[in-house]
Amino acid sequence: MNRINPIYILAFLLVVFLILIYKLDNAKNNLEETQASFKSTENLAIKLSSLKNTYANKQNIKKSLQKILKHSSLKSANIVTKFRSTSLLITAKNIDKNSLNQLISKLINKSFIINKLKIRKINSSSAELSMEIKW
Amino acid sequence: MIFNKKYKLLFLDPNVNEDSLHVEENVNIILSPSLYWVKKVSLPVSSLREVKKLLPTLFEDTIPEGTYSYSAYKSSLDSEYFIFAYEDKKIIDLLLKQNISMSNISSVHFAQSEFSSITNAMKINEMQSVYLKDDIVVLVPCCWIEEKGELDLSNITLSNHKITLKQFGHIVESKNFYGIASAMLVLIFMLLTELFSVSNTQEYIQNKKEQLFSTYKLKSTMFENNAILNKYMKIHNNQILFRTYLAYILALKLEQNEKMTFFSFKDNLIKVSFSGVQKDKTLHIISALKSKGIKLKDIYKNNILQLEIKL
Repeated sequence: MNRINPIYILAFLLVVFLILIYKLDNAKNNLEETQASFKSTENLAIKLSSLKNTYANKQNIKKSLQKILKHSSLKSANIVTKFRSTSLLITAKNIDKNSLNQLISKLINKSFIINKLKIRKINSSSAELSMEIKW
Repeated sequence: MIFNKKYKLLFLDPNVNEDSLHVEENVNIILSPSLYWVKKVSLPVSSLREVKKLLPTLFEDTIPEGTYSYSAYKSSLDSEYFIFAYEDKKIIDLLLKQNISMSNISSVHFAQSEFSSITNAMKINEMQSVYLKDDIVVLVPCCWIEEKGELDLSNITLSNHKITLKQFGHIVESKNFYGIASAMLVLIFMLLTELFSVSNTQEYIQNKKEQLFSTYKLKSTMFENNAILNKYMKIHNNQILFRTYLAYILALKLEQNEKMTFFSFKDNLIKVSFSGVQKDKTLHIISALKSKGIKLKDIYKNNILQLEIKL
């Protein structure tokens, strides 16, 4: 007569069933959270990587700047450059307007961090320039 | 039956005094004929299993309506069977009424199988006796039989014919039970499979997330990464805004005598000066910039218009 009661077996199965439903619900919620967390981390990683590559890639920025400054059209502009550890200082006491246009448009159209810029008109054809680019 | 000999043997009868059977040890039970229906039948079947399938039909319309369980065993003659119908609930209720716990019951037998070799009538309670008639143990009033002995269970050796009481048989029928249990097992299996799949997916995504940190060389905490991202986003937005404002300023349509003489950008502040601007003509420069959504501060002095724009 010590046979297990069928009702107990059904009750046990029901309890196991309910526990599993609860566990599955929790697991699904956790999965949704993990998926959302993965998605936001991925977005952040892509954005951060892209921004760092644009604004903090020291080698690329230096290389790109040197290429612009060595351009033949700017040779006569008497541009003085001073590379520092985190920035480049560009000065020209008397730069003609064509060279100034060339230089500014080249720098503006690239993704450099222009920290300071000062242009003062000397006369109708030349100006004084001072500029700081950071990385 | 050596095993069962260890336990006390009790005769269960609804007319026995309630307290007299109170036990707290394991017992074997013999059911009084008043607790079951019995028939001796001859059937042209070869096995007991086939007989058992026929039992509900064999008792149909011959016993009162109720929830019955059935049992059978073969008699000493070929193709002859003793078949039984009994109500589990009725027996269980009687056991509970007589303070016998189901957990203390080792086995349950019919009086039919255990008293099949009695020679005289035996008195089982104040009013009734049992005796053997045509191989059937029958219950009769005491007064019908003059020669009767007392019920003596000490010499009884229990047979193999025993039954198992279904405590909730009246609630769940066996077929239903197997159906429900099978359905629940299938559901449980499905849930387990899904749980396993969800857990695996979660582990896979977690691994991919960890890979992101190493691939993109992220800092160990999201707090640090967010702070770095905010810093670069601020720089990016300011640079975009600076270039946009510069483009607007350079695109201004100035009058013939008006010239831009100074431009500076420092600490997110743009300063720009225009010379040769008539006092009544300052508005075309200011309104052109304001129409682009630029907030500015203007100072006019000696034909020079100075504008300050905060990013």
